[in-house]
Amino acid sequence: MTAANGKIDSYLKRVRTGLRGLPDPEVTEILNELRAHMVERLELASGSREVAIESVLRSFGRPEQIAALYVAENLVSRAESSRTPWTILRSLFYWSTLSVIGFMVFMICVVGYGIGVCFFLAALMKPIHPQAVGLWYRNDPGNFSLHVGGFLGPAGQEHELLGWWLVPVGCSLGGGTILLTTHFALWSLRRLRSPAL
Amino acid sequence: MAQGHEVADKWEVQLRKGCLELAILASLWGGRLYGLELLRVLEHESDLVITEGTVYPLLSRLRSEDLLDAEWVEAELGHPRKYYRLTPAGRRRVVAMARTWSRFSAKLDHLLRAVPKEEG
Repeated sequence: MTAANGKIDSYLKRVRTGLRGLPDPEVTEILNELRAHMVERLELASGSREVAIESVLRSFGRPEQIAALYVAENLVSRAESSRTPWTILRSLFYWSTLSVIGFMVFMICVVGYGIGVCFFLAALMKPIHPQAVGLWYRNDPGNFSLHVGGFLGPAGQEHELLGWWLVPVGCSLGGGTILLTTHFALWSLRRLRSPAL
Repeated sequence: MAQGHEVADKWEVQLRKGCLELAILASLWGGRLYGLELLRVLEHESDLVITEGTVYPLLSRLRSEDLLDAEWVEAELGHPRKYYRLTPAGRRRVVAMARTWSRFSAKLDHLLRAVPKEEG
């Protein structure tokens, strides 16, 4: 039984490594449950212990896969319970340290939330600096340009396009972009937690 | 032809994955079960064979959604076991899911009556 216990310990150690970031009591409970299952399967098995432990560990799947499923569950439940961009970004950042896909989703969401915040900032700053914040265009022959202004204001012969409408339009576009980014983040996280058949 | 089989296999995997939550909740309708028992029930009663370790993260999710309760119980012989049981919310969920499943599968069965079971 000692050799079998050693293999179980080494398997659970790999699960524990994959569970980094989860609260300690949760990790202990997960490992206790997995160990109880393995030990009982081993007790029920007939024949050589060596063969039995190999069979038990094989039927359990890769330890990294099990740990990843637990982590995914944890990330999704944390993100879904608060739904705030900050919590979602923290979950995505953790995912980005585990896989390339996680990193790509994290970057897309950083850009999405960034654009949303810029729209909101433009709407917020318009009443404070009406001459300096806005959407301007220039339509000289052969020289059309459109830009969202910062604090320097319009350059040369540019005309403001939205005026005070920048406030409601900025708020709507900002809210919409943040909402879309949140939906995309949660959809991506949910796809992580599919069990193996 | 091989590609057709591959598509059918993928479809079956997705179908089984989609039914897993319902199968787990339905398995617990009769009373509490621990992980290994639950896997046996799934295998014998629903033909759903899943990689053993991956059932636990799923149980953990159902628990965090308040559909399941869990408690450690000392076994008469050997080690403690973690038993799962349906919460009232879990019972309501499984009834709703079973109703949807029955309605959907009855309609689909009706549609499939015209389709032969073997390729001819």
